[in-house]
Amino acid sequence: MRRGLLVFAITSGFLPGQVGDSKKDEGKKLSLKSKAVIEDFLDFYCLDCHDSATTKGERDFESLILPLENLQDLISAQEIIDQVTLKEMPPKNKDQPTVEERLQLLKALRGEVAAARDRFESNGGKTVMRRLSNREYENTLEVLFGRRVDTLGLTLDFPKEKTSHHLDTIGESLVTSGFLVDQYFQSAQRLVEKRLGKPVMKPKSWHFTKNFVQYEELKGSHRSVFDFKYLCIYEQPDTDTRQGSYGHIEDFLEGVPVSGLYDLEVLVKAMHRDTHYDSKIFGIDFSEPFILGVVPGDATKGHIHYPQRIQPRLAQKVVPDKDFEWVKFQVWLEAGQTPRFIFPNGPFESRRSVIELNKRYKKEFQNPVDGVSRKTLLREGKLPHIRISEIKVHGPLPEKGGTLEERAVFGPEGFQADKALAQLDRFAERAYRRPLTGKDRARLHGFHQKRLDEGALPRQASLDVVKLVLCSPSFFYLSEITPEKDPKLKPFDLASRLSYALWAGPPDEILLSLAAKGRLNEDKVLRGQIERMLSDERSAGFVESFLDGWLNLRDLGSMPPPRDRARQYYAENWPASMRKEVHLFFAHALKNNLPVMELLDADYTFVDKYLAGHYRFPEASEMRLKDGFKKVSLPDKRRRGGLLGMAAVLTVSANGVETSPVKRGVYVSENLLGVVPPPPPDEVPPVEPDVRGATTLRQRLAKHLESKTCAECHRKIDPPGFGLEGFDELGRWRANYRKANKKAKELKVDASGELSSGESFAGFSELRKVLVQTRGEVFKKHLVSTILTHAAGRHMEVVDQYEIMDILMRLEKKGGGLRTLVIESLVSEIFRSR
Amino acid sequence: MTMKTQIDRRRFLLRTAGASLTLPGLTSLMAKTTGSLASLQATKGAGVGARRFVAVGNLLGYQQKSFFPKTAGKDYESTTLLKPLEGLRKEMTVYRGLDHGVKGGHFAVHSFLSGVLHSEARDREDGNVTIDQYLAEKVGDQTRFPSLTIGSEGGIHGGCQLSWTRSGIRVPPITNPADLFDRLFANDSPERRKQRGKENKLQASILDAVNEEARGLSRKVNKEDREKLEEYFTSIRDVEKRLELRRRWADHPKPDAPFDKPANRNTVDDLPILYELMALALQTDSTRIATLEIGGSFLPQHLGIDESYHGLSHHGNKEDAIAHLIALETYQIEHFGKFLTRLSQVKDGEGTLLDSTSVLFGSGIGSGNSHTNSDLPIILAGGGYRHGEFKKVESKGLNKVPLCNLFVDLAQRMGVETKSFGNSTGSFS
Repeated sequence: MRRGLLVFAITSGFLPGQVGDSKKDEGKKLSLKSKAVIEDFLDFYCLDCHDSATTKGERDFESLILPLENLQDLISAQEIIDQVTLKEMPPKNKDQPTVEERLQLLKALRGEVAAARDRFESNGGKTVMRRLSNREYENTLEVLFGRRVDTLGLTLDFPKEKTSHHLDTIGESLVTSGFLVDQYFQSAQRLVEKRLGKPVMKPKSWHFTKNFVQYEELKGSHRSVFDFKYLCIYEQPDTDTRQGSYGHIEDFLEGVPVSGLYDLEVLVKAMHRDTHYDSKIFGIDFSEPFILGVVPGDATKGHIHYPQRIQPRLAQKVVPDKDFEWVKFQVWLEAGQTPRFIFPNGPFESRRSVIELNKRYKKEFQNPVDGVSRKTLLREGKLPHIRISEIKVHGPLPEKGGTLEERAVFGPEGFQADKALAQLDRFAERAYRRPLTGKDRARLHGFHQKRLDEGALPRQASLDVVKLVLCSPSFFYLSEITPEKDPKLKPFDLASRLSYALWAGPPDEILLSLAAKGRLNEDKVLRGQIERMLSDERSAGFVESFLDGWLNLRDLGSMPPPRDRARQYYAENWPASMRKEVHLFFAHALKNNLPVMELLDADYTFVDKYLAGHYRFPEASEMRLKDGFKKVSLPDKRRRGGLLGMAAVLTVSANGVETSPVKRGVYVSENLLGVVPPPPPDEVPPVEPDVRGATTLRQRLAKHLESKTCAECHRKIDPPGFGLEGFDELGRWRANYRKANKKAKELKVDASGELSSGESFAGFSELRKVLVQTRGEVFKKHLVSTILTHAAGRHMEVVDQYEIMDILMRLEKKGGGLRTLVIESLVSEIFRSR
Repeated sequence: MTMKTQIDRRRFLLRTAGASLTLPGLTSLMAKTTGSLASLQATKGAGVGARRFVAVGNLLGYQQKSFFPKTAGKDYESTTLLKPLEGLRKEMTVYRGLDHGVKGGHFAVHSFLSGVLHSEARDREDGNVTIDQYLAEKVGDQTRFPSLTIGSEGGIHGGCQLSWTRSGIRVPPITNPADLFDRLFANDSPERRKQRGKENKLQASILDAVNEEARGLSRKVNKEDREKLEEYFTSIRDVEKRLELRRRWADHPKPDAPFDKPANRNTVDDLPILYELMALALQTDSTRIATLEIGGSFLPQHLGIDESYHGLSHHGNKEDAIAHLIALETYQIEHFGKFLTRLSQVKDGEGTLLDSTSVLFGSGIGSGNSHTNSDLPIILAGGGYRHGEFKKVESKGLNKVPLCNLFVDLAQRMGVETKSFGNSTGSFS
């Protein structure tokens, strides 16, 4: 009942034109009446603290002038509406208005806000000309060159992107600096020369059967046991002690001569997956087949058996258990790169397990040894590892009709000296995402001629022009120029804005041709295109980049847990599975236009084998890794279902070591409800010591509520965080806290709490229920606002609230689905204006 | 390579591989190894006795109670955190009461070397330029690298962000020893040098072309975009300067590397090697200005402490949390001390490298527990100053001495004639 009322209250006040449409004198009477309601309410409930003399919290409502005329008052009015709606004000210890009084005030104030719309709308926010983010930059090059570019590490030396509220698409924050502009050239140089600069080479074959020298510390045992006849991979990549995590080919350190596709054949066997040694020593899942992965390495860029900066996973396959078998890969390698082999689901820190095995199974060996030697284990023992005995490399494989890059850059016929200028024009048009102007042509052609005059061969001159295009501001800025007074985007700018919003990449032929015909701005065409783009698999670009921002999934994995405490986190690459769950869940709701509130509360989710185990789902026992993710229904909605029960969200809102209700509370408030709590004051009184681990953080945080200054904010911030205490720092369900030390007593988790607006909850599922019931509108509003912010590249301002409310209205009318929400947001004026 | 250096190199590698247990001997060993290398000696020349500046900052401060002595003057008592520096007493001064008067907790750490918050830099002529970059502008053109910025890229709320240019751009740090090593010592082959020469030329022509294009654009863009485009023009000018510098140094070979390229591990284990490379950069006169930021990549787990550094920093006076913090901070201070010792063992003209290098050590955070940016821990070492004291300065009221006053002194010592920097009210002395 209460929920219905609230929805009514929130939406009705913002009906566009509702007030403006009423007859004039009737309107006047109304406004006089509403003025009285508002003034009475403020006078009675608010001005004790928020008058011009006290201005508590720097809020002064005494000077508020009705009808609303200045921006500051509009902001105040919005704030009052939010606070009173959420019942966060007046504070508990003051006189409380009745439900009726609250509703009257809200109605009146919303009327005032709506009536003031015309006065504010014309000076809405503008997107500052923004450049491509590093992510968009790489995606764009991938499209322009027709192939993955992550093997080149083009943006590795770019300055780290400055995000704003976790979003990486905000024009204001996307700084251009000398460091970056310098890097744009280095990147273009590397990309163009590596991919197009070398003559096509006839394929060559290499065959390696011996001298598989590996890490310094493995040398002794590998020499004496099998004279370097095998390449052994013992552990997962990137461990702390590094012993056999990267298998390289000692006789192929120079790598491949040119960038290209290479066939890679490996004679390989999984050793001792059925080992009788205690599996705890290895910390991995022996029921799954071993996986062999390939990453590039470059001996000139760093130690070949250590992690390197450029090492995207190129391919991976399951390793046969019974006998050595040939396993085939096809991988893309850049000139100078040599393939390296990894064991992604391999044991945890092989060095340690070897020491332990030598000690623990001493009695089984005829020639026992101590310490890190592998001799005996390899000769007599059952040490699990991947063993390679032969490797064949063949390539570069010829590509029909020229390489992808050749065709993507120069067109289907490849480079033609006599058509050089036309080919370059075509490339520049694609790179600039608009038709060329006469000046563009003159500049490009002039540069081409200059290079020829300086003695460059025709092909080289063209390649240099391609580099110029990639350094050009028309390429890396979305300039979005319109007449000063008509902020509506021109068709080509709209095409780019759409594609970077929904694909995180450049527009395709269809969008550009609609722009060329001037039809993209037609409502129907625009809607059709948004539908098409959402259905296209490239919309994964939106899902990933939006979720990275909205939920800050970008930071997932940046605060890893101590290895000993969560070995599986590393061996099973939990961050990848966690992230994927959120992607699939959001994409599923987007595809099927499911109700937006299902994002917070759903009776299903998506898990792979690892995540199912992590969540202790019964499915874990029957799932196999190779089946990937599947949708599972959650009959027991107590613990999972909805974003707040997802490991990704719970991990990124903790620090890898412990949870803090404050931090999680801030996360829920900022990321899901759009309320940014004020930063902590300059002087924070310290929380009392707890030397013996006898109290929980909750007990220590009780201080927050005793102290008046702390309580002011923390009664709003902490409660949702308390409700999530049932999940540990990696999102595992827990009933008790980890003991601070062996002697400490076990402390029970208490996940109950009370929102500042008065709703109490006993634990996670009740918190979720309360949030859905009482914060639904706030959640949706923030979601719309974040989608618009992300897509338009600027933060929403107070006047944008009008249109956001319009969008929410249309959303309700059209069924409240997530897809509808995205579409309605992108057909809005906010999105379509500069 | 001679037999002797080969053996030394092996020992060096063995030492580093053994991680922190064997570290105490490391710096002195390396000092000996590298100090005797003829190639390093030969690269000096113009740089002998030149003024140099180094700044080291961390993200979460130092425990004030364990850092500051009580007694001012020469006879100050040693404290838990200053103990590792006991032998260097005569080479350094500890200050108390200095800060920038800014607020914002983690959000203000980046003002450590500028005195100015980035958000308030817009209308200032020098923006929030940091002292290292300010000096690099004035004296940096005499070395291959006007300055070297080393350390963690990130950390809570952006990390230390120790270095900023006049135009409000954070200078991205070199984050690991391998990269730093390459910059200092990796020489290109003659073909590659020739190739680079060509690339520089091509880049210069491309800059001209895009500059022209942007000028055309600036006539058309909307008013809100002008400022953004101005940012771009500044960037182009900056790259032009870099190109000029690259051209100038293209034909000067880099000094020979005294040991093999180190492997990257993590900021904790790499700290000594980063310091060593920094010392070598000064010794070879590759740069005269360097900063080191110890930020988000300094993970306690590598010192066997399974807690988050930031979590610990809000220690709430818990004894075990403070003990952990002291361990982390002691480690940082120990290696700082070894760096100073290392510099003091290298001859530089009449004096030592430490005599010619002013080394500033501290943090933009005063108390991590309560998010304050006041009462910063500050040590100044070397630079030919008269040292040996614990100085307490007026931290409040009209006679307050801003930290920037000390920066003015530092600038003057570097030969830069200025009377002010950041929010200084005069010079310190």
